[in-house]
Amino acid sequence: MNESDIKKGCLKNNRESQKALYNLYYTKMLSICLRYSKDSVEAKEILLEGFFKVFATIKNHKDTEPLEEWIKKTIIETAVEHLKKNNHNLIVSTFNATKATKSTTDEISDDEIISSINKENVLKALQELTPAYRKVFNLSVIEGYSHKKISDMLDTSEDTSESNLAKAKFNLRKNLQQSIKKSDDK
Amino acid sequence: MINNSQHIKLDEIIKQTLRNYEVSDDNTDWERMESLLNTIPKSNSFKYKDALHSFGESLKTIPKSISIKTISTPISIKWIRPAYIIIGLSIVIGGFLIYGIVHFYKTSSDTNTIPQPAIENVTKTIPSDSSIHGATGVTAPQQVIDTIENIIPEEITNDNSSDTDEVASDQKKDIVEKDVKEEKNNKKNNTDKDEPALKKNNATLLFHDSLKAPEINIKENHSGNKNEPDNTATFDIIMQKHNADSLKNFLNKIHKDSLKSPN
Repeated sequence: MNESDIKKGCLKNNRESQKALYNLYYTKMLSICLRYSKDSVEAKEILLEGFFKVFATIKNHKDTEPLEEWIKKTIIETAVEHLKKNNHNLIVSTFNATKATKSTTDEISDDEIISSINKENVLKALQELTPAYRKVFNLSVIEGYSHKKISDMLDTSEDTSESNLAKAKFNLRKNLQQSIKKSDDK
Repeated sequence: MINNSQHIKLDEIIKQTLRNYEVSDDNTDWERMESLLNTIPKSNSFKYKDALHSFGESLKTIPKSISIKTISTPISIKWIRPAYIIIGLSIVIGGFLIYGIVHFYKTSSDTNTIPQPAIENVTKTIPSDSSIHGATGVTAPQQVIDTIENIIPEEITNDNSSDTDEVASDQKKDIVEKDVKEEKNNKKNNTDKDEPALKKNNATLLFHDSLKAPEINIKENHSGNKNEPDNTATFDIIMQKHNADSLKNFLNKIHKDSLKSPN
């Protein structure tokens, strides 16, 4: 069953086609969700919400756009919406971030970080960021969205978006330093 | 500058690492997704879009189906399409209106036909304690209700017979007089003290009943017997056999009796 057949089946609300599409993009989309969430449980929640939205709105997909890109975009939108709903996390996490910013000392250099970097500790460092910083970092650095688009998506100003990105980068670096330090101590 | 370039390098490495990151998770958890999809309500079988489209298409075909030869004037050609549109719209709107009215009456009838809770006939047995209530206080209303119940069916049943046959009424009169005497004997023993109260209650209840009172007056026009026994127990029977004048006399008699007797 190729992609166009799967899409046709999904348009008819066929369960087999839906399952095929879900299994085809499961790992790729879960990886995206893990970047936007604080843990794997939240990531799976976002993934389910995202695929639900995909199946509900697949009729809006145009054939000119690759299906994978369209699904990815839908999943990212769902992730942003999901994080918007959990605004209470923002206040707590922002407080932690500012506290962390004040007590920062560059104990480990960037070279050391680069040498000991791997997929797992980068993801963990990213997940430890506040939802607001995580969102801006993902949208700006990984997806390559402009600050204008990000500010439109998050209902904030461009300045806030830029400032959040700077803080997100700073905190991510700090989180990486801490994780490397912990692994060295072991 | 060196520090800044190192930061950029680090950012780039982080970016590449995260972009290429792909989780290895074989448990796709499709069952959960399927259960979530099963919660979607099925879409309405009636497709409004398609229906409107077909309606529009049918409107397009209307001028084609009418041959111009059959139409005499150009004005009619001009107005035939709007006329069909108006007819079509009026059918649709009329259908909605009919549906709305039917639905409204359905709902209103549903609300009207809500079964009312059955009212139980509670009969309280009041203890006959003369020290608390007195001798007549409790028993009198029950007797009044009994007499009313007796009056109404008899009025209805005697209605036709009294009008048609005078001979029959004489015979009946004799039978009734006998019955009256028997009842008199029976009730004298039981209701010696309650008689005045019963008289008043019977009279008032009868004439306050606006529906029954005229019937009584009309029915009793034929009979003219004034010599009836003065007894409350036979009041219903008396009412059947007297006209309005005799009834007035009867009431005056009762009134005089009540004036004579202090209780």
